[in-house]
Parts: sequence; structure tokens; C-alpha cells
Amino acid sequence: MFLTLEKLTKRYDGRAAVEDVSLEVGRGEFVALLGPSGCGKTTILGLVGGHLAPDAGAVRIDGEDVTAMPPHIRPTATVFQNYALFPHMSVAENVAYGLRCRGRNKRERLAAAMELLDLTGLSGRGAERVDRLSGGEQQRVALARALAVNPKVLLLDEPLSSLDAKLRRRMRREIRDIQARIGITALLVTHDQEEAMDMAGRLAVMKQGRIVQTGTPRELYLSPANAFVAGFIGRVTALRDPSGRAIGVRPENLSFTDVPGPWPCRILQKRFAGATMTYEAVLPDGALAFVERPAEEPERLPGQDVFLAFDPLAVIALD
Amino acid sequence: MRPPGGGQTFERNLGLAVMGGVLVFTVWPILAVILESLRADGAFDPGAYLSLFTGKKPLIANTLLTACLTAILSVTMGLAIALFLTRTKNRGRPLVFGALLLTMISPPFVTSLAYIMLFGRRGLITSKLLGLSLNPYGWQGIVLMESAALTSLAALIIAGALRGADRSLEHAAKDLGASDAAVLFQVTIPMALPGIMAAAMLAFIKSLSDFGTPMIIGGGFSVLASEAYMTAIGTYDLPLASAMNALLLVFSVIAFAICRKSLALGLMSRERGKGGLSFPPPSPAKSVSRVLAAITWFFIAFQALEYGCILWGAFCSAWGSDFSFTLAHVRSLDAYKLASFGRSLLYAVIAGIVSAALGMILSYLTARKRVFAPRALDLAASLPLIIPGVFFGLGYVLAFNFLPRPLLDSGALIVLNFIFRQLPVGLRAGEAALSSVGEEVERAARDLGARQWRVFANIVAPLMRPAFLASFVNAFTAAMTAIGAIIFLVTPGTKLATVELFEAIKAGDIGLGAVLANMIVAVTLSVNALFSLVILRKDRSANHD
Repeated sequence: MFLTLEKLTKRYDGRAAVEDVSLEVGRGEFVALLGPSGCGKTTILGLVGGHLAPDAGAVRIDGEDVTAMPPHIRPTATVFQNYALFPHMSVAENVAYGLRCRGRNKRERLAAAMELLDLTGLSGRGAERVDRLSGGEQQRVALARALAVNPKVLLLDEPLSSLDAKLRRRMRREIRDIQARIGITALLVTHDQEEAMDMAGRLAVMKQGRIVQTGTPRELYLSPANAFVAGFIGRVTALRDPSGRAIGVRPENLSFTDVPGPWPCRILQKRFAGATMTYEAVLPDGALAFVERPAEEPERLPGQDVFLAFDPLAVIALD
Repeated sequence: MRPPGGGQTFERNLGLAVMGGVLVFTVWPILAVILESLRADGAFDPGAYLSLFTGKKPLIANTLLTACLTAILSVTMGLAIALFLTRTKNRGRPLVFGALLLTMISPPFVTSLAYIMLFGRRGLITSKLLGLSLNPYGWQGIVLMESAALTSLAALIIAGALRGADRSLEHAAKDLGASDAAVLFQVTIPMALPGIMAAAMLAFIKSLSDFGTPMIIGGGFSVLASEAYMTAIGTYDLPLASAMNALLLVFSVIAFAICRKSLALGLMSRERGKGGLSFPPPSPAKSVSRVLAAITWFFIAFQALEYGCILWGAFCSAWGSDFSFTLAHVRSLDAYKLASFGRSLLYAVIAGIVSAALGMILSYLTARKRVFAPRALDLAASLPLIIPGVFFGLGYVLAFNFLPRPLLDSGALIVLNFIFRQLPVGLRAGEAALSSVGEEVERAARDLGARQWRVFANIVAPLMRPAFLASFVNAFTAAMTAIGAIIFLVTPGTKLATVELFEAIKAGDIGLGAVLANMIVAVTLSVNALFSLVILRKDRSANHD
């Protein structure tokens, strides 16, 4: 494997932020670490980038153990959450800074910066001050700056969190396209499952310092390892089958029926979402059910008492 | 966050060196004063305090009376001027602002000198204009002139707090039906309270430690600071002088403890509010505005009169009797006095550079937690903020008098005193600069391949440049105008301009005093103006090109 995390553990004041985390990433692969805030995903990025030293475990890149290697030598480059652009340098100077540290001459640096600005859609903006750029443009500078040092692994720390929704969607695509075009190995940290599914080929879902499941978005959606993953990747309605076993059903596999069954519920609200109509219903124990029906089906109205129905084959075991 | 890999030995050694410096040149002198105050003939003896509390009660009362009245008067005036600057529409604001800055950086005794020239036995106003022959010396003069000197500081701090306050609150109050007066007293002034408290504390402490004004215009009225000076210089009773200074420190600490929270808030408040509504704050009622304007312009006129007197006095044959033009006072500047002036300049430049650099390094080490016990170190280095200057100077004498004579005569102690006394200001400026940048930028540089020294040279140093320049100007100005802290440290070979000024005034040589005062004002003013321009221009190009 190209990037290997081997039983990494990092503690702060005795509390483990990351515990016994192992992950393998192939060359050119785009993997996302997904989890709620405080689950330790950014800590992992710090460990891979060399900004933190692990208490146990190892990081290997391209066959080389880099665990003890300081960040300025490590073949990784990070796009920081708030971009961390150097406010006193121009766009081109920011992009070329890594090459400056490597002792390249000015012409070489400038040429490389130009090329990367072209790649990231910032042609001709090199002389501008970074604080004059919009959020999306700053994001591109940060990406260009990281790519300029030709890293073996690109690390992205919640790179889109400070952009508005529309721009975020566009930048997801752009970053993914650039990553695919240059074939760089990338590790993304995010708490946004849609972003992770949209950008990465494989996801590692984290909870409380541990990786709970790794797989493609499809694998995680169709066969989540537990209720946490099921709820984090898409929505799920948690039920108990007649034998008392905890099961989950995705919204698109649920339907309403007037034929009495084991799962009575009352419809709370409906929302029209174009192709589908989504419903929220409440079960007798107060738990919520999420139901997604084709828009052309007859509508159900809030306040109606109905029963849930689903295909037993579409059930996810949550135990 | 500590990355793996080496490169930290240098930082650790630097941290130890700075910590050692703070311990030796800030903490130890303070301890030396306290130890000395409790000692007689090498043994523990609280006798100095006993004699202070039994025999010198009026002295303590005088001190507290003067300091409290000064704080109240200067904060009242300062608040009025600050409100005028930030809450009324007027065209004179740049002028007022300039006058405040000018009087912020005035050397000591300027006000006392002006007081004598205006209200003295042969004063322009009392004797020439009104034909009176009053005895102008007493506590009223001290309070008046200390307030005149401290009003500018108070006004600038309170104006900062008023500018930083969220203006939409005032609009909200108006919106809810509050009258102009209600907005002013229930919203505007309470919002500025941290600034007001901070200004009051600083005025109180500065008044406590001012020994020059009471000595020159106090007449028979003396306070702890002036008495401590007389005790140390006159009778050479160092334990008693130390006890007096320790008592001053106790009062300072009490004031600081009361205002601690406000101080942090008041001095940290940045210009500009939190955004939102961008229209100007509601201005108070016309009548209130008029009162504010009257107070402000009265103060400005008084300052103009004061500085006018000093300027005139430098070229006036004999103040009070012969007002004809002369260059005699300027000519009386002999090589010896010019050397003192040159020395002041040299010391101020060295102290300014070193103090600012040290402040930047220290703030980096503490803010980025790259040093053992960063908070304790920060606190120790900040002690001089509330230490009266005389106390700090006496501390240096007591702490370092064991050193060989040539070293004492070299002026090194004076420069060190300047450096460590102004260190807290550089420390704060550096911390502010660092907090606005954030550690991630440094991590980004490391990430891109920069070694530790390169991160410092390419990233940290350029970003701290404005803070460095501001700290330099502050330390330079403080050194050019310091008197209390150095009066015990100067030797015949290391006299400074302020000491010459002090001696001229004590000797009654108004003309020479005025010449020296003008020279100090001219130098500090030019340096301040020059650096403000440099910093501002850099700022502007950063924001607008």
C-alpha cells in the first residue's frame, strides 16, 4: 500500500484522541476520514502530516517509515481548514513558497506557480494579495500551494467548511477532478457525509478516536456495520422486528400502508423534493421514521395514522 | 502541538535565556526592594514600616488623596473628550486627536514647569494678568497638573473602548424609546466601563509614582513618592525609602486587583465594532454635545497654553520680568549638557530596539507555549506595568550595587532598566500580532518544507514587524522621557536629558529647563510621527492597493 497508518494512537493528557487506528490507502486513491467533530479525524491528519507525533504506531509512505520525520521533510502537503495563507505574500509567492524552501531559483518558482495557478483556475491572479481574494479563490491558492511541492500524499482538512453551499458543491468537483488528473494520493477529513461520498472513492467512518468501518460509499450505505454508520451515511429508521432484533430501513425502502401491521405511526410532516416526497413520522415510542416515496404516488397528509411497510430483503441489521 | 524531529534545542535555550533575563532584571530588583524594606543592619526588622505608620500617617493620606483625586479628574475629563471624539459630529477631531497624542508623549516636568510659568509667584496668569501674589504651591496644583498630564492617556483609552463597543446597542436603545440622556448614561458609558476603569487605574498608579510634580510644585505638601526620593537621596535611609516604595506597590496592586478584568478588556478592545449596522452612532443631545465640546476645547486650550509657555520660555530673557527674545538659554547648552542629550538618544535607541525584540521573542515563546511555565513567565515579565518607576529604579540600585564600579558607570543598568520596564508593552503587542495570525500559518510553512529558522524568518518576523515598530516607538519614547526609574541610577558620567531638565528646574533655571523640554519634545515627537507614518503607510498599502 502507498500510505499505511499502523495502529496509531495519540493521547492528550492521558485521554486518547486517536486509538489504534490502522488504514491503508493505495497509490492515487482518494480516501475520506468521516466522522462527527471531536472524533479524532483531524488528529490523524496531523499525525500523517508530521505536525503531531504519535504515542504509538507508525506512518508509512511509499514503503518508507516517516513516523519520526519532521513536517518540513515529510513528502506530504496539507490544505488547512482556514487555508493558512501567508497574509504578507502575494498569490504567486504563496504558491511558490514550498519551492523557495527547497532552494529553487526565482524563475523556476515563478514558472511552477504559473502552471499551478492555471491548473486551479487562477491564471493571471499571481500578483494579487491573498486577503483580496474570495473564499473560493483562497481555497484554490491553498490547493495550488500544497500541490506545488509535488507531495506524495495530499492532506485536506475540512477544506470546504468555510464556503457557502453552492460554491462548496462546485469546489468538491474541482478538487476531485484535479486529484484525478494528476493522480495524487489524497486523504480528506470531513464531517459532511455528502462531501465525503461525493469526493472520495473510499470512506473511513470514525467514532471516538477509532475507525468503525471502511469501504466504498456504496458498501457503507448498503451494509453499514452498525447503527452509527447507518445513521451517519444517509438516513435510517431504526425499528425492532417481531423477534426483538434491532433493524434499520433506508427511507426509499419504506412505504405507508393502511393495513394494520407491527409498526403503527403518525405522519408529522411532508416535504416535496422534486422526484420524491419525503415524510417524517413518529412511532409509538417517540422514535422518528423517515420515508421517501416517488412523487407521483398519492400523497399522505400530516396527522394521518398509518403503518410502516418494507421489503424484508431491504433490512439492515443494526446489532 | 509539537512536531516530531529536532530543531527545538535552540528554542529551549532561547526560552531559558529570556526567562533568566526576566528573573534577574524584573523579578529580582522588585524582591530586592521588599527585602531591603524589612531589614536593618543585616537582620529582619520591620522598623521602617512601624515608623511609616506611626510617624508618617499624613504622608499616606496625602498620597491616596492626590492619586484618587487625580484619577477622578483625569478620567472625567478623558471621558468627556472621548465622547466628544467618538459620539459627536465635529470637524475638529483630527486636531483634538493630535493634541492628545502630543501630550501623551510629553516629558516629565513639562506640566510643572508650565504651572510655575503660568501660576507661579511671577506667573503669567496669576501675577501679570490678575495682579495676584498667591502662593501657588500645594496639593491643588499637584492634582491639577497631574490630571492635565494624564487626561490625554485616559481620553485615548476610553475613546478606544467607545470605538470598539458594539454601536448597534445604542441604536437598539434608541429604537426601544430611550432618550438621548438614557442612551448616554445607560448604554454608551456602561459599554465603555472597562476602558474607564483601566484609565482610572493607570492614572491612579501613575499619580502614585510621580515624585517630580509634588517636589516641584507641592511646596510643603509631600507624598510617598517624593518623600521616598528625598529619603533615598537626602538621608540615604534605604530601608525607609524601600518601605515607602513597597507601600506604593501595595496600593498599585490593590488598584490593579480591582481593575484587573477591566484592564484586559479595556486595553485589548480593538478599533471598530463587530460589524452589523454601519451607520454612525447616535449623537447625544445638543446641550450635552455643547458641554462635551466646551470641556474638550478648554482642555486643548490649556494644553496649547502649556506648550506655548514652554516654547516661549526657551527664548524669553527672564520669565516673569523680562519677556524679550533671547538665544541665551540655547547658548547655555554646553558640551556637557549636549552629551547628556546625545546619551539619552543613544540609550533610547538601544533600549527601544532590544526591548521590542525581546518583547517579540517573549510573546512568541509564551503564546506558542514553547517555554516552561509560559503563563508564569508572562505574568513576571508584566510586573513592571504596575510597578512605580521610582520603585523599579531603586530596585536596580539595591539589586545590582554589588557590581564593580566601571560596570555601574557604564550606563548598562539604565538601559537594562528601560528594556525590562517597557517589556510588558512589547509583550502585549507581540501577543496581539500573533493571535491575529494563528499558529496554522506557521504549520503551513513547516508543511511546505520550511525549517524552523525559515518559518521564523519568512513568516513570523514579517508578520510581527508592525508590532515590533510600535513597541520600539513606545520604549524609545519612554526612555527619552523617563525620570523616576533612572534618577537613582545615573552617575555623573551617565547623566541623561531628563536629569538635566530636572536639575535645571530644581535650580530655578526656567529658560534652560524650557530649552531641554523642547528638545525632548521635538525628538520624541519626530520619532513618533515618523514611525506612525511608516506603519500607517504599510497598513494602507496592505488594505488598498
